Amino acid sequence: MSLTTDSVRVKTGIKGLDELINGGFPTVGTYLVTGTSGTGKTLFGIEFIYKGIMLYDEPGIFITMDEPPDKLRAHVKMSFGWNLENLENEGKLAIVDAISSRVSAPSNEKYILRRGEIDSLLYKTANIIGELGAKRVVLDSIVSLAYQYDSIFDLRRDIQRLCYGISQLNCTFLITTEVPSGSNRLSRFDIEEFLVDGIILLKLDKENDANTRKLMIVKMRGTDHDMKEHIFNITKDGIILE
Amino acid sequence: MPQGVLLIGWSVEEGPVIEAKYPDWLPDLSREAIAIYNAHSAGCRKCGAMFLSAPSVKVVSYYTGLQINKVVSVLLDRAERPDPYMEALEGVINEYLKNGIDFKYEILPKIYRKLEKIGKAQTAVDKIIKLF
Repeated sequence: MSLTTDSVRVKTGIKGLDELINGGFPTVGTYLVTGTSGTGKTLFGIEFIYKGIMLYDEPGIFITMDEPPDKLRAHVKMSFGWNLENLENEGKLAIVDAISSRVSAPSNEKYILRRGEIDSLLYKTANIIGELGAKRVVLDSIVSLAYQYDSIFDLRRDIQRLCYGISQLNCTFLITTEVPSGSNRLSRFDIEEFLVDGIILLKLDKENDANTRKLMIVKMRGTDHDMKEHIFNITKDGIILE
Repeated sequence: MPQGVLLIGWSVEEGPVIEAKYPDWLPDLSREAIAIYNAHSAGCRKCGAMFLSAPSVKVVSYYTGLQINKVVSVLLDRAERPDPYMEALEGVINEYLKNGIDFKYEILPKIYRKLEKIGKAQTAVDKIIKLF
């Protein structure tokens, strides 16, 4: 029996995933998507937001720390045909440019994070959550934010504030983080996994001279979940689990 | 959250009058409209925004200047900070003035919705401020 009822589930909309977590994420939690480079973390995040809007009418916010918004829009449109700009114009999606100011580049974006601290990010995100009535927030990725911290304790405290603040605004928060290649770790700083309600690990395994993408639900508080590794493919429709 | 929007004009016979209001169910605020219009007049009828807090109303308000001679007033909750609304109202009205939009009922729902978003954003931020 599931610990959380279906009525409060947040469906990811990712084909094959919701079945593994008993119908979707438990509402109002923070979830970590982790993996090495090229495993599909950014796509997972953007698909969570896109499907949330298209399938479940839940406005969303995508905070991009590493990829300029223009490039992100172009990549997503080219690869999957998803028109993010239309959703932005309809007031259902906000893409927050959190990269330009960090690299001292100009930006014409509507939503810009001008200061890099986690607190600034929290207030900016809260403002947009209110404006859009957003229900989903993705931060891609926490790594670029975290590098400015000298103390792991300060970082841990501020990530907790961020997660708690966003959950208090009734939003499901998804964070991506990196795993160094060749390691068995779950995150870059070895703290992210302890601060979230659920962890989804994406892997790229070499099998018979070919790379196979795999997804595993490592942790999911408040719900039954599958523990096996599942092969997934990145298709024209996004992520599909076999 | 904003309570509503008033469009106040000038009538030779009656002085300041409410020409339109949104939502329609707002009570009669004729006396308040006179006070708002007069407050702008006290500022030498210069085009621009102001904040007015009186016992019966709290508003951010924009006067278009003598040529168009209209006042757009947004009624606020008592507890709300006026700054974000004032900035937003200035932005919207300046845009209308630049594009020669007529000041009539049709603009009021648009202004209301725009400022309602500001209100919701402010509420979310205030909630975070209270948390920490």
